[in-house]
Amino acid sequence: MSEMWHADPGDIARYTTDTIDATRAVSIEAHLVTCARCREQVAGVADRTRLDAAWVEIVDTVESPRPTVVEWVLRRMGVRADTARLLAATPSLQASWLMAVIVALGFATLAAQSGTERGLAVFLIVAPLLPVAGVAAAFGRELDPTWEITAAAPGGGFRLLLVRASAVFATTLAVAAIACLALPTLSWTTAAWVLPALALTLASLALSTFTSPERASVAVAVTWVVAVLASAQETRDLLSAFGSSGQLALAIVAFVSAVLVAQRRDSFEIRSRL
Amino acid sequence: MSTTVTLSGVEKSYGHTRAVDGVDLFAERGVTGLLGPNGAGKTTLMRMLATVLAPDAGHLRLLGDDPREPGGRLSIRRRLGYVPQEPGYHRNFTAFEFVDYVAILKEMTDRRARHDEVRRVLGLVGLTEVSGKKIKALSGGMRRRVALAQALLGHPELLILDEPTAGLDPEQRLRFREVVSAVTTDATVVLATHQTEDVSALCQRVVVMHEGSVRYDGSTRGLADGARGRVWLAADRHPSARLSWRTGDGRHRNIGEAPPGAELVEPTIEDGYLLLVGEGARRDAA
Repeated sequence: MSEMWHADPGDIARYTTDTIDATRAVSIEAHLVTCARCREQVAGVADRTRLDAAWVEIVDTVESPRPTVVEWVLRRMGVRADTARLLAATPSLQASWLMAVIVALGFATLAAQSGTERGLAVFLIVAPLLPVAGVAAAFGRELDPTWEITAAAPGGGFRLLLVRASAVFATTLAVAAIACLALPTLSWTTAAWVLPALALTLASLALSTFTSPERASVAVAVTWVVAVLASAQETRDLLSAFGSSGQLALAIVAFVSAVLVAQRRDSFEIRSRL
Repeated sequence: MSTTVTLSGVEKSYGHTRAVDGVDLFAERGVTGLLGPNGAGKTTLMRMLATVLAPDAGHLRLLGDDPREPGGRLSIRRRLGYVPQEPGYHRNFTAFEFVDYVAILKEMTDRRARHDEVRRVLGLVGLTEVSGKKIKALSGGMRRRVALAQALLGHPELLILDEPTAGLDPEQRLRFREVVSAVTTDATVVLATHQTEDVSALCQRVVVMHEGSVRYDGSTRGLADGARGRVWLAADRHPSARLSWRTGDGRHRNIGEAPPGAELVEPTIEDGYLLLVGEGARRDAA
C-alpha cells in the first residue's frame, strides 16, 4: 500500500492565489478530492473574497436559463443573448407553430406539384398568409400568456413588436422559400408570393392598430382570398392577381400600411381596447 | 408625503357598458386598497394605472408623468411593478427563467446584475428553493408568488397589485403581507382586492368602487365607522337588516338600520364595505 502524500505548502499557497502552473493545479485539485488534511490547509490560506466570487460564479452558471433551440440558433446568428431570449418566448417561434407552418406549406406544395395552374394558385394563396398568422400570434393577447406583464414593461412595446414581427416574418419566409424548391418549375411565378406576404403582413399590422391582431389577421386573410378569387373570375386567369398589376397594387398596400403602422405606433404601446 | 397617482374624471367603456365612470383618485406612498365586488371596474382601473389601457376620458398622472405621452409612459414603466389579475406564464420556463425574462423586458441588460436581482426578488417571496422548477410544476400559490417576484424587480416606485392574494392559503397571505409591508417604505402600492382582511392588514387608505364609480375614499377606520350603530347581533335575521348571516356562535350578525334596543357591536371594515356595496358584495361572497 502506498503512503499518502501531501501537497507542498508553497504549491498550496500558489494554488490559492492562482499563480501556479496548470499541470500542478490539476494535480493538486485531484489530490484535494481525497486528502482532508490538504483541504484544511487550502481553507486556511484561501482568500475568502475570491472563494465567494467563485461560488457566485458557480451558482450563476448552474441557475442561468438553458438556451432553447430557437435561442441557440439565434445566438449563433449573432443575435444578443437577451434579445434571443425575448424572441424564443414568441408564440409563433415555438416548435409547435413552426411545425404547423411546415405542414401547411407541405400541403400547399403537394397541391402545386400536380403541375396545374390551380395547384400553383393554392401555394401562392397560402404562402403569404403564414407570416400574417405568425405575426398576429407574436403579439396577440390570445396566444401570448404574458401579454399583460409585457405590455406594462418598458421593453415590451413597439420595439418588441418590430423585433418579433421581423423574426417571425423572416423565419416563415425562409421556410416558404425552401418549400419553393419543391415546386415542379422554378420561375418568377414561384416567387410571386413574396410581395403579397410583405403587403398582407403590413396590412394586418396596420389593421391591428384599430382592432385585435387576431381579428385583423382574419380580416386580411379573408380579403386576400376573396380578392384573388375575384380577380381570377374577372380575368378567367387563376394567377392574374400575381401578375405585374397585382404586384404593383400590393406594393402600394405595403407602403400605405407601413406608413399607417409608423403613424399609429402608439396604439401598440397602450391599448384603447382589449 | 408625495402624491404619486392622481386620476381625475377617468372613464372607460366597453361597448355600452361603462366600466369606469368618472373616477377621481389619488394615492401616495404606502398602501392604498381598492375594494369592490366583481365587475366594479377595479381591474379596468388597475390596467390604466399599469399603463396597459388608455382611458376614454379624464386624466392620469403617475409618478409625475402623463402615460399618454410616449416619454412619460416609458419613464413610468421603468419605475412600475405590475401583477395583473390573471398573470400568464410561459409554463415551460422555470421560475428563475420567467423572472429573468421579465427582467430583460425591464431593460436589465447586464446579465450578472440581472441574475442577482432575479435571485433577490425570488428570495423576497420565498421561492429560492424552487427557482429551478418549471412553472407548470408549481402550485397556484407559488405561481402567484412568481408573479409578485417579477413585479418587485428593480425596486419599483409604484406597485400595482390586482387581486394578488387570490388562491393563496393563510400562510402564503401572511408572507405576501410581509413582503408588501417591507417594500412600502419606499413605494406607492395600489392593491385591488375583495378581501377586506388584506385591506385591514395592509392599507392606510381604502377606496371602495361599485359599478364603475368610487363609493368611499378614506381611512380604513373611517370605512368601519360608517357602519357604527348599524351592526347588531340577534338570535335571528332581523327584517330591517339589509344583510344578515349566522355566525359561529349560532347568532345572526345583522347589518342595516338597527331596531331600538338592538345589541350593537363594534363594526369592522367588512361591515362598512357591505353596507356600501350591499347585494354586489353578497353575490361575490356566494
